Amino acid sequence: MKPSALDRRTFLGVTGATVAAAGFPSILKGEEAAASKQLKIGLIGCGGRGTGAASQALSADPNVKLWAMGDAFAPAITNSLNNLKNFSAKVEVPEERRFAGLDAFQKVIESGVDVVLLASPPGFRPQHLRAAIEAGKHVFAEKPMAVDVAGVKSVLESAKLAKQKNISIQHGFCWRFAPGVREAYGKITSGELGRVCSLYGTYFGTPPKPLQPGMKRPDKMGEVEWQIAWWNNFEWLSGGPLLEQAIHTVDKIAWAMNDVAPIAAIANGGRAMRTDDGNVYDHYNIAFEYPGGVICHMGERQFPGLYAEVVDRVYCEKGTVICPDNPMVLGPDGKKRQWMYRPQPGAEQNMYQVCHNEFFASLRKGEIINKGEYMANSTMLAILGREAAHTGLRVTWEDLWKADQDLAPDGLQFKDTFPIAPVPVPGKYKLA
Amino acid sequence: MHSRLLSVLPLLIAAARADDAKLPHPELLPTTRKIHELVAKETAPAADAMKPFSEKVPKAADATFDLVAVPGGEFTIGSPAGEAKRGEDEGPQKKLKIEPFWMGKLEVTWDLYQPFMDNQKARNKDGTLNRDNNLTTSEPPEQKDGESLVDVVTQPTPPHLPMHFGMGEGYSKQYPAVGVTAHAASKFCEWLSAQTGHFYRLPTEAEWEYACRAGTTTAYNFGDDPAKLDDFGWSVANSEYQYQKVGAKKPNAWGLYDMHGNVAELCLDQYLPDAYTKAADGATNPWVPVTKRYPTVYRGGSWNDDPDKLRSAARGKTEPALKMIDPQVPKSVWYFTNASWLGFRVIRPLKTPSVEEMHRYWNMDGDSE
Repeated sequence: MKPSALDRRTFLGVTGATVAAAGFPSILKGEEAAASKQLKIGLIGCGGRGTGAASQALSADPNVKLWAMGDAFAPAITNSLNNLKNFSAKVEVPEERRFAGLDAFQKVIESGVDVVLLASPPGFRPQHLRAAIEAGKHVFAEKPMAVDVAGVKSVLESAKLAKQKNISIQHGFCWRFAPGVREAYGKITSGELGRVCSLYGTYFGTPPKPLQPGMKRPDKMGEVEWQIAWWNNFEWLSGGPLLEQAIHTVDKIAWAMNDVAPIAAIANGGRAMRTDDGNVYDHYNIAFEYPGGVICHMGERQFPGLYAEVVDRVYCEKGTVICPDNPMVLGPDGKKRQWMYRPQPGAEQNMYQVCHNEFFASLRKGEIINKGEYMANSTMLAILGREAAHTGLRVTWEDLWKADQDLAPDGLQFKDTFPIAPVPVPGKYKLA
Repeated sequence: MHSRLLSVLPLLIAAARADDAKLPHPELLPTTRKIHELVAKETAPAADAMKPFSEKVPKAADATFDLVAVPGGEFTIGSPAGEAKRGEDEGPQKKLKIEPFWMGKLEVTWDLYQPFMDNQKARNKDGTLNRDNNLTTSEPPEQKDGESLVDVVTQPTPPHLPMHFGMGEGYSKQYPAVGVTAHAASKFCEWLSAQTGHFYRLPTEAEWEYACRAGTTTAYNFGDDPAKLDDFGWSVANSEYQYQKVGAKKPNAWGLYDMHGNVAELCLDQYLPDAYTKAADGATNPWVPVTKRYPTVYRGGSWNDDPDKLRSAARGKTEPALKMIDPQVPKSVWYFTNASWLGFRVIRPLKTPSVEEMHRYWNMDGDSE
């Protein structure tokens, strides 16, 4: 299946190819030779993943410097710096370039950096991306790109703006950088295995940072502050487990389908095990309907102590692709292995590192990576599944784009009153 | 045991005796003390009255595992210079004395390990219970209402992805637990001890090889011919590139399964290439305590190894690359995200150690990478 009339972009009216590449030169072009300029990096969101992204960025290129850091919570910055000590001279973040608080992102962007790494909770991503692109910074953005429809639309506008300004947007859908998974999916998208007939993907795991049942906000903490500290457990910050975690499987569905637009989704979900004060579901089952009668089915759950797996099974005419661990192709009988990815011993590659290596290599060549549209679309695909479950309705791709869902206002402060939204009940819950 | 350890690392051990505060993680000592009291309640049998037994694990839905009685004795560690595919680090051979212990008949399986790993409590990154909303700070190991001694043993944070890596049939009692760091395995032993009242730990490298050989001096515990390996172990030659059900092959002479292959097994020791040069001939229960996170010893080879790596004397060592695809920094102390071939087996020594020794066995993560 080739991206043609089925390309999502035609549904969105964002015709990337025809956007005038006018105006602003890339910061790496012109008089400064792209290959020699020192690139200053700003880290926004200094948790474990953000620090991981920083270490990958610092490893990707010889002439980079971590220049500024921002996080909602000051101790996160100290911890992060402590964990980046091994990079010694590549880290130069004095007190005056460490910014704490919810406006830290803006200060990092204004601190004289060339590249920013966006690793705050996903609810903040569209706002942070917009600010970075407007300021002309190249961006690495972790997944997902947003948690609601308004956020996705904002990301698309930012991606378009980035195109006009010759700014790169690299993404954290990390499996698209895993050598073995790339080879396996390449066999699908190249047509080598024939048409995709159906797909069943799973993301069955455990809650990553579970809020305990009965755990309440401490008196000293603001409502928003407490929710941000436990962001995985709140829909407006994480988008729920389907967006925050299982979006990897959603993204691989989009990938297997060559990033064409889906038609609709029907889904179930709920809270079977969770009894905490958060408002995210703990399981989803979704059928994505695609053109040509293809159903892509996925299951997500975070059930502690039970059966767990993360497997994509892509059933094609000439074989079944099994990923992401031990990528392989089974024959049409579903059993006999036709191909299997085997990295050479000692030559295994870290997909997170590959992502940054490619990002910085392209910046050095003066090439622009702009994956913003597909990042937005993969995020929207997850929202399609989530909203189908939350509403209990068949939600079409077209209708979803007409919605104006916005889970939280920008500019909330730690001490603000921001009541936890009720857990969505199908039939009662409405997609705004 | 201290006097015997002196033969290996005299300075370190002497220092530990002088000052408890020099023990690793002294803040966790109260928990060790309580477990020690529990273990000390039971009188150990005489060495010649040790019997195989089955241990029930309440926190693992009463799952059980079988232990084989391994008699004390003497053996020669390492391989002779002429052994095919021998590694430099397997010599010089030394004669050692080993005291009796029980050893898991099988590699530790997921039905035992998953309840420890998926413990359903909010935990700080170091595994203490999270009581302050901040995952990066540790809280003291106090028991609060509704919490048991077992709960306050430091335990893993949830895994980033299912740790069976799509092999086998999910977390199942048929398959070995893998991707576990030596620190995590040691904490699992503490968790087991806290609920069974029996002291468990990883085997030392010497105990492991002694148990694997089961009295033999050949390259494998069934002889020297790798062609016979098909009957006794899983290597890259016969495993279909994944781990296999535990106990599916023949056991060694002492009734231990999968000592060759399936998953390599973690040991207690820091890896030193010249460990045997330093070891004293005739030493009893030698052990090289861990002071650095890498490298530490693993033994037995795996489904992912060529048959020669499965030999009784073959030594393996951990390295930072075993955590390569951990997306977070600092990388988790609990998971080897790139070691789907590395598991472990527990032992229960006949003699109950002192509180300090127990504590040292269970707090082995080292403080530097």
